[in-house]
Amino acid sequence: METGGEFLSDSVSGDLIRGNIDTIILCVLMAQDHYGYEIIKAIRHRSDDEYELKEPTLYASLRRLEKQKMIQSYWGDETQGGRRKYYRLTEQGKVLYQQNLLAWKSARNLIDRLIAYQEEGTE
Amino acid sequence: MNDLERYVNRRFAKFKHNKEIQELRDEVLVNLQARIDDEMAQGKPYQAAFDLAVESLGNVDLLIEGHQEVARNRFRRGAAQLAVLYSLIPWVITIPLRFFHSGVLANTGWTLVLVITGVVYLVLLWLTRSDETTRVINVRKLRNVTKVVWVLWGIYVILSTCFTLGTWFASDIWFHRSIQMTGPYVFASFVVSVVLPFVSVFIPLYFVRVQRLVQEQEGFV
Repeated sequence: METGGEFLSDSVSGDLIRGNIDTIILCVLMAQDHYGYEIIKAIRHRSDDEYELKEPTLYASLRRLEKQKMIQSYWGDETQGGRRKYYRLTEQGKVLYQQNLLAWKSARNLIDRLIAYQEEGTE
Repeated sequence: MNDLERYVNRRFAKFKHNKEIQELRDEVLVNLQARIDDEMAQGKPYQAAFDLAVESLGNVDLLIEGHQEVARNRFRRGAAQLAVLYSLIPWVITIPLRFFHSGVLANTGWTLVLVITGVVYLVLLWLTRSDETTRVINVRKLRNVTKVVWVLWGIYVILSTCFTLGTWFASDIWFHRSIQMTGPYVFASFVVSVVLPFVSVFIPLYFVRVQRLVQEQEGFV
């Protein structure tokens, strides 16, 4: 039973993160332009090593966001090693990020109220 | 060319060398290199860092746009089940048309298709119960195949309609006697022979439905 419970909560939090991965990537790009591995690293760092973004998810998300014109890619001018592909937020992307952030906050408040069991005051 | 570049090239070798794939390959390569450098900076030996990077990349097939991973057997069973359904409908439609010569032919043909798809479905049900492997489906290719099937179907319908109308209404050219609609049966027979080819629309529709089946698998693997 216990392992089943653990599995469920793992998948719930995994699904929650996956469902918001585009916004999380937009958030990383708000500060500055990044290339792929830097995004993975930034997300790992911000989650205190608790969440590691998988590369297939990263590429799928970047491609989706670029198609929606939320981000733009450009090749860096590194002289050593291969050239890196950087991503920059567009104005549209910044707007989308703010919208998604607001949507997340209101959903979170609502879910908080619905999901937390309170002995007193629960009807 | 270092180990990593050789590895990445090998994994990308089977894909068409267009600009999109080339850029993806370059991007994957520098990101893997960055990951390896990062791990080594934290004290990992090269081989361990390399293995870790390769593992993080996973299946390169899935990085390519339009590739979708599906549960192999679930997908096969689903596609076979749809094939049964999509041959059952035209089979039922053509049963009442057995009153007419062309209807007998068509209904016999669809019976044959139904039996074949039915047998395939049953065999798959029996064989592939507990295998959990996945396969990658190229959605773009499937879309192109569907397009070709639609075009072929269109050509078939146009040709067969022309042929039917030609044999009926231009009969004075071929047979030196003009068309004779001697009663409702002859008229119905004419209508049936014009409409029958359109029943085969279930073949291209099947391909459209299979595309949706692939999309439905997204996120379930």
